[in-house]
Amino acid sequence: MLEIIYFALALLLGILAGIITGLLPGIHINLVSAFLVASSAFLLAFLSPVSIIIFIVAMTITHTFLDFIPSVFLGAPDDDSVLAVLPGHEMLLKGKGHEAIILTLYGGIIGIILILIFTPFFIYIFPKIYYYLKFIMFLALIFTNFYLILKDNNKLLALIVFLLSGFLGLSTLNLPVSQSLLPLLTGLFGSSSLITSIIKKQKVPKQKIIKLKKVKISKKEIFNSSIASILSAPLCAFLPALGTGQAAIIGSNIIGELNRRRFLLLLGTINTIIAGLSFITLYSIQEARTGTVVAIQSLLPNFTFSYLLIILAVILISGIISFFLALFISKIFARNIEKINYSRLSLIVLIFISIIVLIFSGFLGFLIFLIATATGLFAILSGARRTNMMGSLMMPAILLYFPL
Amino acid sequence: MRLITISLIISLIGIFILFVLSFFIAPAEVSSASQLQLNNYVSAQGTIKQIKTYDDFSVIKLDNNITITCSCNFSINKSIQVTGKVAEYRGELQIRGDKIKEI
Repeated sequence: MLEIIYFALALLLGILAGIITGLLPGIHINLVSAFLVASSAFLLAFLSPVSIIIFIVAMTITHTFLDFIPSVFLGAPDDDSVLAVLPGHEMLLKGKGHEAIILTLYGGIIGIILILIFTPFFIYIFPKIYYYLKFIMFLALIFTNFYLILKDNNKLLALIVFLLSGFLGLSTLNLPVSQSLLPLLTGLFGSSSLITSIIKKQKVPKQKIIKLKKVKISKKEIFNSSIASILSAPLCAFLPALGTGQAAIIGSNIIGELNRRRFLLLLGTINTIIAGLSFITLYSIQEARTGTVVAIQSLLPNFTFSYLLIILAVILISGIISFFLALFISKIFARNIEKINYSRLSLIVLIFISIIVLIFSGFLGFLIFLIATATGLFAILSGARRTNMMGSLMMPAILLYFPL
Repeated sequence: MRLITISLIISLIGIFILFVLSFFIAPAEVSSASQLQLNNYVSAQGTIKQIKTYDDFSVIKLDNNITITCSCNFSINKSIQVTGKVAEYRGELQIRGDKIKEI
């Protein structure tokens, strides 16, 4: 009985930690997980490893539901939600910020359902084809990027932005910088948007607090998003050095041209699937792909099927709770955002993320942040599609999966 | 238009500087386990004295008592050079090997 109380407490504390990491740009779940592993000797004297794992899984899933809120309302994303800044911000400027969040939340719920349905496939079939995936991934990355550049109205500009971001990503990942994706992606997608908001003295209109049932998603949208996610997310969850950004770009190309609504739905789905699948990879191919899963691996070296069942149950419960929590928090943001001077808020967020970058990535990280900001500003001001800046992650991944 | 040009110039020069820096900033060399500091990016070399292989990663102990974790395949008595970040595992500092080569 006492054990169940501990598990429930771990779940609630995990959700609370996920809310904090999700809402604070730059504070990643990996930081909390690393702290947990570092203090595991102390914690394990009081708690069972299962309690700590419930905490980590609940935090991870909650984070995937909450991290779209700062991306959409503040223009301050984290690694997994960078692509939500543009469509989310556009909807915010039309008074539809809350609706943008609802779309990502629906995506998250679709993601959880897909994880539960496809877990047997990921456990029994995927490991058998896993070794062929590296070559498929190389082709998928090459094809996706060519397609992305060729379909752009201004192909030369798209290529310039892709190459600039790509070389920036390559240089950054070769430098001894801690949390290197933080300055890179925050600069490209976050601070550049914030500076644009400050320059343009952007004002956020009154936000419509639309009811959940009023946000209609057609069966076709759900079907398309599910197909794209289930084809792209596992590749990026099972293979190293890939994540939500690459999966979203590949996924959006699978189902063709996407409007803002569908893209946000897709991002929500992929974000949650990748987080959920990272735990399944530990069981099916015994490999850790994320910091949180490394934490679990070190706490539970013998990862059995019953642990996997516990994790799936935690994913389901924390997903449902996080859905309603995110909805509630999004309403608070939507009600108050128009009362705030948005340029001043953008400046405060910009200073905050600059300090976070300095603390976690040091001076060299800050230099990367400045250069990434300039690259992001160039992309925005020249009118290039900002998805081309995903070259920062795509180009290093292409080189990693180059078959020779 | 001026801001576009300025941002492009900063971006180009900055990327070039980072590209050059990535060749010249070498990680700090450590020669014993006592020199390891948490979260530092370091480089070390030594002879393999012990290997524990798990499903998909190995824990390697060098003759200078530095512990390395990696997804790699080496044998005892080989001399290796490793570059990676210092992490703590169950109270012990070890290098999570990013680049490992035989020397």
